[in-house]
Amino acid sequence: MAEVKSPILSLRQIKKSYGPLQILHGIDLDIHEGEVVALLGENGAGKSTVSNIICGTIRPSSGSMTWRGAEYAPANPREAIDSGLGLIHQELRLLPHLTIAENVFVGRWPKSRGQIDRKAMERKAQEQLERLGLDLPANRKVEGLSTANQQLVEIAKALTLNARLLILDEPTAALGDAETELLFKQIDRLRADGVGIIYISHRLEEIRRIADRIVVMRDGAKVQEFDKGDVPVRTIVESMVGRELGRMFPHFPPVGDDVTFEVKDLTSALDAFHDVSFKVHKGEVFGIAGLVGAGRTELVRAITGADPISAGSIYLDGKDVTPRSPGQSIRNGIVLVPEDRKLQGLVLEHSISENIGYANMKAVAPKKWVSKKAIDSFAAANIHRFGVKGQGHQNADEMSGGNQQKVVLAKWLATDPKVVVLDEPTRGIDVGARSSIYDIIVELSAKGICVIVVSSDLEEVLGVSNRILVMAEGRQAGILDRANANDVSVMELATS
Amino acid sequence: MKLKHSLFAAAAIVATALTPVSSSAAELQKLGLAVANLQANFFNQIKMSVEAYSKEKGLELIIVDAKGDSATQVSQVQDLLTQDIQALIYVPAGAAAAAVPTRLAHAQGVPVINIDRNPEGAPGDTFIASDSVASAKEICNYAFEQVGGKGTMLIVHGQKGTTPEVDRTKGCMEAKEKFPDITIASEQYSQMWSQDEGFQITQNMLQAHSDATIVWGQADALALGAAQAVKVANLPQDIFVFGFDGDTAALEALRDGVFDATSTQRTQYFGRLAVDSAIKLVAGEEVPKLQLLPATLTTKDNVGPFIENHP
Amino acid sequence: MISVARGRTSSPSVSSLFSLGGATGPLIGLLLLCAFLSFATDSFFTARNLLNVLDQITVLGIMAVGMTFVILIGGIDLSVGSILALSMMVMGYLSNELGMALPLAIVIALFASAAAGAVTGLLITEFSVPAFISTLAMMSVARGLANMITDGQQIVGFPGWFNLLAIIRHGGFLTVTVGLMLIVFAAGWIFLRNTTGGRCLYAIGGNQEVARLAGINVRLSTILVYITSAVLSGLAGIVLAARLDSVQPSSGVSYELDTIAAVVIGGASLSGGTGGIAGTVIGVLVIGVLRNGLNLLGVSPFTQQVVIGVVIALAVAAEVLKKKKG
Repeated sequence: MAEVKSPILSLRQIKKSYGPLQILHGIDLDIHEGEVVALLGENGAGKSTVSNIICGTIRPSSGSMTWRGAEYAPANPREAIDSGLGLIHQELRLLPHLTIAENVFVGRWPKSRGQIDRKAMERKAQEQLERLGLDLPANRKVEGLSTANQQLVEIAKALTLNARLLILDEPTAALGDAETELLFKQIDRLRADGVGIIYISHRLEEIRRIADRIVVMRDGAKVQEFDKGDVPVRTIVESMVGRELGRMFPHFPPVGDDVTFEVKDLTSALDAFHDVSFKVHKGEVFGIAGLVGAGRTELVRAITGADPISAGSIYLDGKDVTPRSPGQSIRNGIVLVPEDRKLQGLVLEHSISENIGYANMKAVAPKKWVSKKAIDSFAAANIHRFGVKGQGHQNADEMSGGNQQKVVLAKWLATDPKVVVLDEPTRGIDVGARSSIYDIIVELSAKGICVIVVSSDLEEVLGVSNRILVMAEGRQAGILDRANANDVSVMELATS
Repeated sequence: MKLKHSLFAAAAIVATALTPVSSSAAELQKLGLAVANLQANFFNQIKMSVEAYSKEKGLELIIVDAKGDSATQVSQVQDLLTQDIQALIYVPAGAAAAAVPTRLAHAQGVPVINIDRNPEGAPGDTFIASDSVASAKEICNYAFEQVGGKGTMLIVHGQKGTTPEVDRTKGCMEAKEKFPDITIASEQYSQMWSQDEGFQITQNMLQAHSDATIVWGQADALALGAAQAVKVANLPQDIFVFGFDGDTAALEALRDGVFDATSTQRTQYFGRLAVDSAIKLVAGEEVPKLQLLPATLTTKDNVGPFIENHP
Repeated sequence: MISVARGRTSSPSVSSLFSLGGATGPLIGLLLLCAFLSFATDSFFTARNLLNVLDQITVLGIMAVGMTFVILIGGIDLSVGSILALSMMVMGYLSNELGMALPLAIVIALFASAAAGAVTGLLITEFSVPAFISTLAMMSVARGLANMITDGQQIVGFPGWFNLLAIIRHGGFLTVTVGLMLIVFAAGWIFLRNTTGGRCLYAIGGNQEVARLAGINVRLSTILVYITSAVLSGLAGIVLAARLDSVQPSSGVSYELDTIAAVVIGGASLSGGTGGIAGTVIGVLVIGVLRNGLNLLGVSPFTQQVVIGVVIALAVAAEVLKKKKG
């Protein structure tokens, strides 16, 4: 299809250096009208640098770009947007206290006679929401919207800009399968309208579904280009990591029958879920699946004392350990690695050592007396143990997503827990870091620790779990054994 | 080096804070002025007068302003003493005329001239003030006569418990003894002696006592605020509003008929007298312990010359 | 992503050894200020004047330690000046009006301060009233109570030894009140640096939810922080009473702003999570030296206000700029 359309954006020999350090080595890239190009690569491969150069946030050291036939060198993001470019960030940038409509039109509110024309604004925003199949009133405040819905509002915002080229950076990271499907329908429509799309994602399955072409980057260079989207996952991954992979998921051994951890008739005080009961065996990896809003995160937060419980109880080795606070849960050996590492897992502007120390004060300072040295050596040992690439004195916000997630894991696993709850453990991190997190899960399970994994990535839940609990609208829809679990059976329960 | 000196200073304080300053004859060259609060016109007048007169006499003058906080004032007096001033003109800040600055100065052999307030327990070598009691008696007497010896009175007091507030109240009550038909309907206290307080307090009092015929603000700022409240209330009867102090702005307002009378303190003369007393004390001459100056009853009729030239 | 590969090559610097944190800029400013004043005046760099400066910062210094804790957890305490006055008046009333022994009166005054801090702490944690509002309310309540105790009157006439606590320089340099301030500094410094409780405050200020999920009792810590701030304000009130040899309910007005300024000059961030006692001490010294120096220079009172405002703005702006570049 590429031969009948002319490129709307071309990059030729784009290079970028910081001092002596060259981070982009002459990138050539063409995006045509009505084409979805997937940009792939591990974190650090240079994807974000490329998208930042296109958007005018960073200026290239050398090389040239053409936009619809003319020379293109945006000095700032404003110029890029005015040219007809839209960037949807991985991190949400909505203003929580404004309405959806106000967010969609922020900075360019429709006006009549000098005043904001609220009616026109809300009508236009509502149309856009309906196009995206989002059943929300445009005059609702953004505060309290689920992450998935906020993401869709971001996309609605970009669409009202009449962009000719959209860059979507991990758009589905926070979306469940149903919302992802909606987004893809929208992308198909945009493609039919002749909009070019650069699609950045770690989810290879969805790239196979949506991309027309795949461009793989590694270490600041373009290493391979596939002229079709439907390439076997293993081929793509091998090209990304530059070596052949033996397996995607490690082998999880079967477990015995002895129950260590039990949740009985648990009901949320926040009305997020009701009457959930399950048992986890020693060394078992127990998956929790469901659509966004099914109550998965709320369930695991309640199990670990982060959210209040109105009824039910939790047992560990036969002992009642129903928690009233996260502190109590941690003391009982049940830890939560939370969903959002930036908001719940780490103090971003503090050092890695300090972050690891915060959850391990008992171990670092048994007599409540701490020294910097004690924290540093405790952290250094765990940084090494969990393969974090970095040093203890670095601030958390200087690290890549994958490394941050490893720090969060190190922070919790250093407490020597009996039950580990992982909420979206691989969201937004690259393939290499993912497999090391799977390795950590295997290691935990081999030690006899119960691991509970919540994930929106169905492939991941199926790949790592011995059994899977499926939630639907706050109910426990069913528990599937590994033998009976596949994407069809899980989705059937999740939509029941 | 200096440590010995401070040890000595401490020991001196321990010994006594009351020993009069040794009278070694010397010539005053460096003078310190610790003023309570320059936001208040009355104090600012004194400061300007001391400033001008010191210049005339060729003296080096260092001024510090406590902004109404006595702790700040202690620190500032320490700083003045560090600079080896030979005499201290001290206008105490806050309700308590803190004794500590006087003690610090005396411990270092520096004479203290108090203006307006005199600390209990550690009086200055001389104390210069208006004869507030007599002057307040005079102006209240005048006001009561003006309304025909009969009427309802509202009083906006100054900061409760300060020397001027206590003395002015005392003087006025003495005057009232002769006028049985004057009733005091309400009296309230201000915190800062400020005009907006005068306005608010008077407005509230007029709300409750709309029959009032006399309003007294114990300082001109309070009286100006009160006059504004009277104007806004727009009551049928004539209300006689009077103040105290003779601030420059108030004197002009008096000329323009904004309010009716004040008692003009001789702030310019306070300043000159304080500097002269300092010169004498440093030279070892005798100065009276107490120098009370009567304030002048001022109305529209005699205000002219005071505006030209503040006493 | 580049930084991950490169890392930070520098090893932890000497300044972090003294846990100055973001306070190196203010420290340089303080040293420059002292150098300038030493040349500009004869009297600044004398033992006697420097001891005076120490005397003059005792009240501010003690309160600033409590404020550091509050600002570290991302809070603010506007009630410190009023609680200082309340503590003074409780002490004065108990000892001089009721004839209680002064040491006992001091202890009760500190308990009264603690109670006020507990109320603000509970308002913040249990009723979710923002710290700004609940301490603003306490600022008004405590001031009112302080005034009610004597109907706005001052109290004088304490035992002789009380005033001497702030005057006699033991060993030639250390008054009891200055010594007390130094003890509070040291205790605060050790607490923040070397105890789990202190480290927890950094976590809470960095991100409350992270701290809570890490098993830290955020509510209890918050209440204790406000109690500590109140007790230290009460203690500052006692020190001020000794310094003035009198107590009055109008004391400490606007001290909360000086205290906040000192902590912020010392490199703490009002959004919480960064700061420390070493920085705060520098901040307190900057304010103290500046006031003292401007008096020594004979700068007019009105100009002094301008200079102090400019210095506060400069100190904080310089720190923010440095962070952006670094």
